[in-house]
Amino acid sequence: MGLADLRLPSSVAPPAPPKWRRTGRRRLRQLATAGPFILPSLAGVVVFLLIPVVLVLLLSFVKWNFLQPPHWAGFANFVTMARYHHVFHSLAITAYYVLWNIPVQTVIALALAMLLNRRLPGMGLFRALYVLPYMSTPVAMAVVWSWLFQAQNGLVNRLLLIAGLHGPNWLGDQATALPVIAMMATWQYAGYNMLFFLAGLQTIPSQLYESASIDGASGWQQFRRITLPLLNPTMLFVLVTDVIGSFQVFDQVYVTTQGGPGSATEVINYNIYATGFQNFDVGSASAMSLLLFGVILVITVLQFRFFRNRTTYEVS
Amino acid sequence: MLRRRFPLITSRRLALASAGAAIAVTAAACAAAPSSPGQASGKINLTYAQWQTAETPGYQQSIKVFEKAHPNIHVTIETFPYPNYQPKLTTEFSSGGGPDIFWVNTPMIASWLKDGVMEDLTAKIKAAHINLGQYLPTLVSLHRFGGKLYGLPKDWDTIAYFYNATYFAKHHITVPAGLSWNPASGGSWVHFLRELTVDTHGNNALSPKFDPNSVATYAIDDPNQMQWGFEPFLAENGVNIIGKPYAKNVAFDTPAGRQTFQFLSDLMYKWHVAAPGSALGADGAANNGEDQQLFAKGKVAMIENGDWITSGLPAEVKFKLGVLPFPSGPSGNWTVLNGLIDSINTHSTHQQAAWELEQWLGSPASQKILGAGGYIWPGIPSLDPLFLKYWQRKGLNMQPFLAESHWHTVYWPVTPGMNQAQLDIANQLAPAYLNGRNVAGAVSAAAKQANGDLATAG
Repeated sequence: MGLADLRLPSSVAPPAPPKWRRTGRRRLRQLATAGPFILPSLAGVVVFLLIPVVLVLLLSFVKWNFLQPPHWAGFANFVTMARYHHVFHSLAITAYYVLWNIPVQTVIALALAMLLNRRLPGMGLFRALYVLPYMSTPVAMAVVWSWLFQAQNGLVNRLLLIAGLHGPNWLGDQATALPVIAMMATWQYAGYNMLFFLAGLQTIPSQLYESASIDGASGWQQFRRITLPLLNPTMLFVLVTDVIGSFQVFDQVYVTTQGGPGSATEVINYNIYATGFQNFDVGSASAMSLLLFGVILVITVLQFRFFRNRTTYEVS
Repeated sequence: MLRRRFPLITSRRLALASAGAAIAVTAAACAAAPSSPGQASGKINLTYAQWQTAETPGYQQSIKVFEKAHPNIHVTIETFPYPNYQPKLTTEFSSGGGPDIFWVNTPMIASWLKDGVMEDLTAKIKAAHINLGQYLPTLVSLHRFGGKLYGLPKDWDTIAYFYNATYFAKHHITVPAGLSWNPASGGSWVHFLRELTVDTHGNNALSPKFDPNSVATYAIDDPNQMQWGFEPFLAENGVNIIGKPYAKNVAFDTPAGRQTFQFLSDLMYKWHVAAPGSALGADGAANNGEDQQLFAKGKVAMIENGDWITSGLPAEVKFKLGVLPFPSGPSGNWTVLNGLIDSINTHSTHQQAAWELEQWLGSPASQKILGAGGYIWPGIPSLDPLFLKYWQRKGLNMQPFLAESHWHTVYWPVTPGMNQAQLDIANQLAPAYLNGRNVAGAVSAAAKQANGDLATAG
């Protein structure tokens, strides 16, 4: 068939508009429909995310105390945050907190999920109970924990005393204050993470375990070779969100120790608050916020890279 | 910490946390300007900010009289917790808002003065022919800067010891006079405190049988606090927190300063006459009233504090109270004398109404109400007997506080950044107060951190 045979007869309707134009119109129509639905969220993102981020960026280059007009400071705030506000010390304290918080929290969450991933009576109740701490107000929980860990009359030391032991001043001792706060966070969020692991576990086909059992794999081997690898997508999600959340710890520190004793619990978010809202050095607080942003970004990218080649999303 | 785990929200939180300082802009922008809800009905609504709930009933009584004399003005008292008071008001001021008239404490003066939120009242005071000579002179000079006055003094306070008179009687202890301390031997002060401290076997700390690990009642508390903790002791050993007003460096990290802090630590960990710091909260600062709780439970026989707790204290304890003056130190008798003023917000749209209230609260008529009600020592010394008599009728002799106001006095330090410096000093001193180890190191760390705060204060 020659090309001439492909010509359309003249009686046929005018040619349709080019494909790109049709697609463009369709997209416009789709956008007109979707727009009203997206706009409220978009407005929230712009007002509460983009504008503040841009403002922080600008504020980190000015000297401002809320009351006097801001004036350009160049990179002086970045020098000040290191020289006077010991930001790197705060970062180290925060990293120490993350190291206390994340491994323990993740292991407990996974262990709870494994325990509750059974068809036994009452499992639903236990799942709900473990999530309860997450539903409680962090500030209220911090107050309760500070009572529990009071040196003189706290329940923990009273119980230790019954066992013949003199407990330390948990929140007043530089060695124990941060681990106690990390424990507080672990207690509050382990149950919540457990839900994700539980969901992850329930996506693993039971045939894999049956086959492994027939092949003589022990429980530990099944956990290492089947459960853990297939939980990698959940693990990635839990670790990324947990590490970000842990680097932003503030409420518990504010309520229990206010950064003390000494600087033992002066995590970076508390330092940012104190610098910006108590010492009114807004420029340095903004510079510290940018640093925290950068640190979290780098750690998150590293986590994604680590898991990229180790994650299987589908089991067929 | 509120943590959410969905990616979109998480990224929002990430940015929000990073944007902490910027949120203030939004928050400040949302803060209400000095407003007048009652203006529609022709009435001016003044907002009056303070932090002391125990004194609120007294101010309500006073303001009721004011409102009767000024039927066109309604006053709303706003009470904020002290730790948040300055941050809260500062963010409100930044948007041109904030209360019309507000309490100012000494650590806040320098910053707010520099930033122009306190109205200069010099001309108004002069035009109204207000007799400044009626006020305690040190209070007037505390609030005069560059020849300008920013408020009328309305009260004052000093630091002394409230004691459990029932405990004293039970242990046949007579209230001594002329006690003194020194950092080497402790002096008659520590001897007296050892007599007061009793273990669970009934032995006092002077007895060789005294068991420091089983103390039933300590003589005192030893709070990690500047105004009602270590500052009076530092002053009595010749040490100041800062060398002069508006200094950019603290001055307490000296041999005498370290020696004083060592003495305070020794009260707890060498002589065992003061309750250990851990009994006063996580930082030993008794910020949540732990000292008064220990006192009420009979765990300490005396507490060091300011007279501002007097109106609330009798309701907390079930024993007879007494007041002991501060012991003298190597440099003699010193006290921290502090007082408050009301200041008018420069942004207030009701300057005249606020000035009317300022005049009223600074007047003998208002201070009579508050003094006679036992709420404050009036800033007008001729009215002090009213406060004294009120408490005498209640069986409490407050004379030692009054006597101290005539001693050598130091102020709470006046310099920008001092509010934050105070918090950081307490944090850095906490290890020394909580376990008594490396006192000199804690003092140096406190000085270093405070110097950073003063150098960078906005």
